[in-house]
Amino acid sequence: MPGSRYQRVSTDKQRITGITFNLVLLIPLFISILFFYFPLFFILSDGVISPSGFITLEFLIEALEDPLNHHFIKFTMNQAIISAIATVIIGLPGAYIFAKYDFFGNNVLKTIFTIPFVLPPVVVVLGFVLLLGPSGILTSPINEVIIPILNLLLSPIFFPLNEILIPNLNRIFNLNISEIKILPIELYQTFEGIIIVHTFYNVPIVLRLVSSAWSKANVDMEEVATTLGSQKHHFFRYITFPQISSAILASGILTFLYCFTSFAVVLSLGGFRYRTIEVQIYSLFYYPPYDYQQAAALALIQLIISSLLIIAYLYLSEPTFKRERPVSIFDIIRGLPIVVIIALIGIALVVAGLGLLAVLILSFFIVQVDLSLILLLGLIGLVFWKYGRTTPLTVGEIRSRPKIPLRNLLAHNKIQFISIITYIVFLMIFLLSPIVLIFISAFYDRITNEWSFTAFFTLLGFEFPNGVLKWAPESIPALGARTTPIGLIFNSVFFALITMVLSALFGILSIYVIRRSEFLSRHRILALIVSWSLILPLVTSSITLGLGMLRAFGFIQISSKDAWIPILLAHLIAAYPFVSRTISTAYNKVDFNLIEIGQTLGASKWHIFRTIEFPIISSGILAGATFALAISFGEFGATFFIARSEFTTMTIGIYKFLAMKQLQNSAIMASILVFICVLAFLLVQKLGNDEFQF
Amino acid sequence: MTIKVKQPICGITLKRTLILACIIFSASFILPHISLVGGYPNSSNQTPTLTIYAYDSLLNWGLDPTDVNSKVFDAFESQKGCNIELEYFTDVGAILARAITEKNAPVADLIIGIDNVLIHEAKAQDLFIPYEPITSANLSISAINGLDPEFHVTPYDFGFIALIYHKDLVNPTTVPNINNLELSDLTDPTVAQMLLAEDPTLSSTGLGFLMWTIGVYEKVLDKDWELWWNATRDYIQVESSWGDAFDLFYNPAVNRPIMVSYATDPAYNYLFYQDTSVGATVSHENDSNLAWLQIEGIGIVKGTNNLALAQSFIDWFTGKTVQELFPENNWMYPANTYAELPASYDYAIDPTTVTPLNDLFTPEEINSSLADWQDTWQRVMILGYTTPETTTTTSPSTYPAGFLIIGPLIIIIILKKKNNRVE
Repeated sequence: MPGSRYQRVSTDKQRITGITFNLVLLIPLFISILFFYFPLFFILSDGVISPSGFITLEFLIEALEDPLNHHFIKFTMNQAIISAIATVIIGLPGAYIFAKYDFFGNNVLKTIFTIPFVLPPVVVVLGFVLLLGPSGILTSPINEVIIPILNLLLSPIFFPLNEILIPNLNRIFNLNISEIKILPIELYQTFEGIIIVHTFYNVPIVLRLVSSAWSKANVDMEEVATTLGSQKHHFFRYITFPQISSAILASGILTFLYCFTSFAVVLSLGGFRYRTIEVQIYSLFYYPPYDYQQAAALALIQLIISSLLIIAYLYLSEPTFKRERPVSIFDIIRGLPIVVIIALIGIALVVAGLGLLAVLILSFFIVQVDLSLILLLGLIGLVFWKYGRTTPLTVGEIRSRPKIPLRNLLAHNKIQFISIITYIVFLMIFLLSPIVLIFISAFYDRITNEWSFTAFFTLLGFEFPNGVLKWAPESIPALGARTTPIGLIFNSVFFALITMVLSALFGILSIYVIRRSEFLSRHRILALIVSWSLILPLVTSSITLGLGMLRAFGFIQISSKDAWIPILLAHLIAAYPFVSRTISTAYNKVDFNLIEIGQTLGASKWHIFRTIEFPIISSGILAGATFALAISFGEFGATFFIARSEFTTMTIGIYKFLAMKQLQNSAIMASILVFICVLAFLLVQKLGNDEFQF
Repeated sequence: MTIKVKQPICGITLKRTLILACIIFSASFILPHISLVGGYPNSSNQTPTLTIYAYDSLLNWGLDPTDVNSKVFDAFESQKGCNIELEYFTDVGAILARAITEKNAPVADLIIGIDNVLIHEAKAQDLFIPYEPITSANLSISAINGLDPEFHVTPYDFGFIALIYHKDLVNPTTVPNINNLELSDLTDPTVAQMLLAEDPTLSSTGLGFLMWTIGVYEKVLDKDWELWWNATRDYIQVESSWGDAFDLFYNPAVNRPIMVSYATDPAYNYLFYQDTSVGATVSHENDSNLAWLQIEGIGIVKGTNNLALAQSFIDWFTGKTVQELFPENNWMYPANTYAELPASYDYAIDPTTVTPLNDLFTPEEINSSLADWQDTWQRVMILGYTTPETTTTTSPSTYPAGFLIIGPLIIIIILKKKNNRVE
């Protein structure tokens, strides 16, 4: 996050030594290794180890040579790139507005716009099916009114450029089109359907990341430039853009990553023609003829690509690393025991091998991308390279940007005002209407065509015989024998609360140790590896993880009473990266001078933590913990594969109701879920001022 | 030196947070117990627990699924004094995948739903303990032989895959040959545009239909089966599960009035909507009615701790009482020949008039070629049907793309050099 550029750098004095202290770090690391890296390793080893027990690249090459996989890789790359570009384009104006203007309810609106990101894909698909599906409420107005009008406008009568454009386009791109025409919108089994839903999902990332970078961009420099008579575009190009460029790139890369590993959305909308690598892995793992080798090979390829990108993302979103003195190889080795050095050399060799493989695979993937997209990406890359590098110049103290009330704009620039309002309304329709529709269909009986709350209360087990309230939850066979809907809600709350507390605890522990450890400060590369290895679960496919856990711990017979443990672990691993990133950013605000003073005056480490560090990072902890809560509520992939019917969660319930075509019941569940998430987010917004870190 | 002491940014103290965390932590442990009070019966360690894996639509498509479930599972529980834990999966394929991963420490005692295609994989993995139920004399011989004569799994129901259609939209005026349909009639684009099918890599119904096309084209007509799919690939709609397709079939906005489903669906439509507007047909090639027969079975997982209980469950499941629930709740013919059929089944296709295509394949053939068929299906549907020789050449259009990455890179390097020189 760009604000951290101004982090107060600590000196060696504030570092803490001691084995016990460093061992504390091992708790989160241990959990992550045992329950994330070990299952992952277990499952991926299928892809590189031949049945006779030797390491082989045969399966990898086979997976890459398969023409079907070519098709899926091509689709995965293309849709992810297009989704990322579309998301950034749609989100950027919003980021600008939220950073620059102050208007009634802007904070609430910003919070609500974050909701799509934590919604389980099942709910999102449900919302979009209600909105744009075959009998969705917007389908016929768009297809019968808006698109014909647009087509009329594009026809040669109104748009004479067509006559020149089409033959030239045909000639250049070797196409064969006779007229430019917008086809009616279709959600199922189309490319654009997937792009729309992916964009919906990821716009919050752009809104959050870019607007926070924009609002923290150095105000003094802008004022100086304005005083010196800089023109608007000039000033944007030289001052603002370099400061927000890494945030834009980071959000683009993150969006790309999420779309690259997208599963449930593509599975339910893509049909047989559109499959991401993730969906293909799923079908190879879970459906006959169960080709584990190829699935593992594909999973490995996917993991390599996403790790490369996530490292790029972390690098871009943590510019502090760039500023640090480059670490020489001797810095790493200095003071390390010989065993560790040998281990490090071994790791380095493996990493170098993997890196070579990664570069090969990456170039293979890029070759699959459409020509025009590569051109576009090249252009974007060029622009960012040329104009986007952070200027080393900083003038003045960092201070928050004074926001302009939006109504002031009405007075002197009506056009801008109107376009801002139009944009906000568009964003509200785009991001909120699927959610609102879920609420509506929860309380609207489609058969009798009237509003009713009876279905809601019946599902929760409330009855009103003779006007007396009775609570008798009834099990619904579709969910599993004896699983009541209210039980699902309790399970979800149980997992979410424990995940929240534990992930916050682990987050504090690991960040505290990473920041304060004397050992890690001497070995910065190690610190980086540790912090990144804890964050890597961010985009690992939950299918691979779920199956990995099943297979790695398959020898342990878990009784049905303890079946919640693996689910909780999966939630913890999914939520931890978000928490630790949020706390890490909050920790940047800690003033190390204060710690030094405390130490000089003889305060204990615990006392310093309690009175200096904790109050400063507390709102970050709160934000992170709430994020963990929401992630746990929305977790679908891993839970889906691990869960037993006693401990299914609301997301699984929604999915099962949907599979059984009980639309209203799944909408009721979904609306409860959305309600809890909105409530939690609004609470965080009210209590603290820390941003969520994606 | 003056030091500016800043106020803490947020006033939440550690003590309060710790208290809050403790409260949340303890509350979350209490919560599930509240739900237990609401939902579960008190299970003590003495009562044995039978864990069953099944697909989620099992016995859930009737008029009152809750009642039927209690008639089947709760009745067995009270009879034997045990607990049944049902785990639902979206498809049988997923159940088998789970059973394979748990092979060394099986959780399930019984698996319901292994059909006559998946049985080969299951047998190859050696997942089941053979058990011939006491009811075996009453079970249909052809179902037993069609599924597994060695009783690794015992058949409990069967049904033909069929094409179902809305009669008001599909009739001799729109589809001339509907009453005497051949598979090749469906390759006509106007007809293919009405058809909904399921993905054979994700759905067992879809797999059955794939076997149907292979059987008819390869075995009966002696043609390449890929031709059928290649002719229809641009027109038919393929859904990932039977449930999705069934939902779209009843959605008039989708306008897909023909669907790959089961021969008993007209009976379903009659029971639920009291009309006969849905028809069903199999294919008529060379003067015989042909279709793929799906036989579903139940088997005991190797490594179970409750063998006797699992065996008596299979006896119960294939007994007359439970079997009579199958026609109107699972919409398949009961394997037990003594189970009586309800009145609604007058509207279903009579299975005795249809010749199953299954007999044309040997078990070895299915076992060895299944992966190949599915893979070929995907290739044909996505990439189009080509003869094997031409598929290996890579299209030359991908090469310029590589140069296009290098191009911008060179420009970047040049620009960077230029910048450095200026500085």
